[in-house]
Amino acid sequence: MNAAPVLTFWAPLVCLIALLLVLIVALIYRSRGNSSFKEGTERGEIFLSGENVPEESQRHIRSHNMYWGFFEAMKRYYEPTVRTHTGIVNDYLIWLLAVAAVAGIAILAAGLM
Amino acid sequence: MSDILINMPFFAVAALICVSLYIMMTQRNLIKVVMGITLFQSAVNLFLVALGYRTGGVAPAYTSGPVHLMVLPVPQAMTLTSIVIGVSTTALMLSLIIHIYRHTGSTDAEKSRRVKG
Amino acid sequence: MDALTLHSPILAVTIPLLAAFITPLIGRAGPRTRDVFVITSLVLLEIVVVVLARDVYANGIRIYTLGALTATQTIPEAYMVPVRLILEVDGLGVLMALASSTVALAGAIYSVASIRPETGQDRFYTLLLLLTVGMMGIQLTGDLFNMFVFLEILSISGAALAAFRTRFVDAVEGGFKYIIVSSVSALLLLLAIGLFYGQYNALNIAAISDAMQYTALDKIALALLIAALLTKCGAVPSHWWVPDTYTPAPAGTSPIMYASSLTCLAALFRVVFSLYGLKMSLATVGWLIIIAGVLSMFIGVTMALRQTDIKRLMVYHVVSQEGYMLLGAGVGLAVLGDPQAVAAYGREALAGGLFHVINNAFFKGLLLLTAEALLFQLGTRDLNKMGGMGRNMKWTCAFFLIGALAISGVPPFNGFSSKLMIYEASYQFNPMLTIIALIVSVMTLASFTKVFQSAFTGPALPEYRQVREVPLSMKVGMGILATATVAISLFPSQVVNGVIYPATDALLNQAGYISAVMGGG
Repeated sequence: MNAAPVLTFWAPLVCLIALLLVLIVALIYRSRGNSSFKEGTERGEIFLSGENVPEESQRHIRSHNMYWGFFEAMKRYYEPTVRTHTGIVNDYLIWLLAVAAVAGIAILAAGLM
Repeated sequence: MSDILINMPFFAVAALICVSLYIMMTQRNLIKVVMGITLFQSAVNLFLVALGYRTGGVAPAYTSGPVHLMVLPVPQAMTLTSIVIGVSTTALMLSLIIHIYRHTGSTDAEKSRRVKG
Repeated sequence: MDALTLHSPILAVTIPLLAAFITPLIGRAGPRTRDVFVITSLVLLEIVVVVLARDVYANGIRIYTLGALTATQTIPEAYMVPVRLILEVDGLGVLMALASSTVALAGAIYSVASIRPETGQDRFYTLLLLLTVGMMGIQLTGDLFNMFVFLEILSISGAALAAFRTRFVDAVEGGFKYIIVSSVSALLLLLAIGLFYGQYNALNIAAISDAMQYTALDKIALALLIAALLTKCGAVPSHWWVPDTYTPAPAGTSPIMYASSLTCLAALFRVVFSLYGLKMSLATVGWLIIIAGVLSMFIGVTMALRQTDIKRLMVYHVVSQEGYMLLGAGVGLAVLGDPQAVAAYGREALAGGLFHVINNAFFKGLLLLTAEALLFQLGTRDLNKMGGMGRNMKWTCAFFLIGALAISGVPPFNGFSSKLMIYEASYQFNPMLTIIALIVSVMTLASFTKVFQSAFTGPALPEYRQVREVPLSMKVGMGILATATVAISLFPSQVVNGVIYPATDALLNQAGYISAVMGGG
């Protein structure tokens, strides 16, 4: 069975041609912009409604703040899961042998049926 | 009764495996975990050698004398390979425990871990 | 058949082995000579693997008997069973060999600049070459005990590489956990080999498969093999060692260690498809692998979202992407007994899983190298401290974008092609699996957006104004993997038809695998 029927609609060359067309349209829009803007003047600065703009290291949002809402909502899933990741070698081996035991019971039981 | 006697090596293998699994799963001292793994290696080596035994067989080497029934040589070759591999992995494990002790001052599995989650 | 093609299976194993042991000797002549020697030997390995691959695609399964007068004499005169050690190379073997030799070459070129600040570089390159030997051995062998020996070689060199920078406590701890878990897994494998030998008096995979009667001992051996190999490849619920071990791996060895996990995954496929095949209870084992795959996908990506260490985040994605491969293979395995289902979606599921293996080797390896590049230049792996690197490290940023879009399954990249095959096939098997896989894909994109925002975008931080781009060898190493990713992205149909479907058919055709060694239908 050929892979062609699966992939022709999403074929990468089609996607690339589509992206190229979108890029050309975007460049046409950009070239019709405001021609009175000068680079590097005060028009290009950050404006926070008159507030003081903080310095760079305070402006950048750090990664531990990302997706806070997601973690809060999923707290009941995350707390037992993170607690199970203990880092103790004995637990690693217990899990390995548990997988072997569960697989063994499942396969032996399937053979009996 | 003779059935049990003939299969005694396999009972010994089962006992050794149970003891070594208990040690590996419950002992927190890292050196004891390595001891448990060494015991498991010995159990598997014993299993391999006991597999090859044939009742009344002699060592599997052709001599200029008359040819007898021989025990199987392939498990013995497998056991030699396994012993060598066991020695090198034990050496690596123990040297890493020395490094862990130098860094953290402890050989306890829970107190010496610095990464989790 | 010329000599190179005839001996290519054994050359693929012995070239890196010889190079590994000569490297400290050549290292006496200076670091430049040693680097050139290592890279030359890996380029030779790549050439041998390509020659072997072309031969296998043209002529079918290649057999190489060690110690015989002619390479294809599997059963010696006056015997009835194959007693010698036989290398049996089929489509799956060359697929994995192509992936791992390319990744090893890219990793070694990357390491030339990246390992320069460390001492003991000769031993580093020896370990890197030994890791490659372990991978090649498992992929090309047709003998179970040989697989055990190469698995141990792979484990020992992997653990020593993970613990290479012994001044860091997490490196030593990661290496220790890896060797403990690997030793126990390999011993379970050896126990299973003992069970096979005791019953069937054979160590050759084809010979055991021919004689297999699926007794209770065989079922125990199957459980041991599945547990050992699932642990070695890092699938949940045995994935605990993966983040601890792969995070501190030095320089360019992270992609190679990931390829070693994929090799153990291929060994699992070999055991389940070629060794047992139709004789076992397919629904049970298939669903075991599917459940392992689904758990890996979900737990891997949700733990990855939480991380603030860039390398640990990417290593959790290793666990997650392996879930996709296990899902594809599990679906293919569960319907193996039903030829209609296999033709309808089983073959495509397995092909999607195998395509995802080679795609992952390239784009995940690329992502791991970009994380190491950030560590090399900034001195930290903590995402909370990074920012604005897109201004200073443009090449690394571009490579990161290629890898991140590919892994999230964004068209037109190759990650999308393989994930689409897995989605379409698993939907016909059970729609719930596809829904979980789609959610996991979205969360993958979310976590890489987090990394992109934290590390590459944002204002130019004052403490990083002096940071420059990485040295040339690191760019070349990343470039090799990026080129491979883009090449597969642009021509997925050709890659799937030419490389993936032969591997899939080799796995599905257990009778062909057996008859190549045992002779006759």
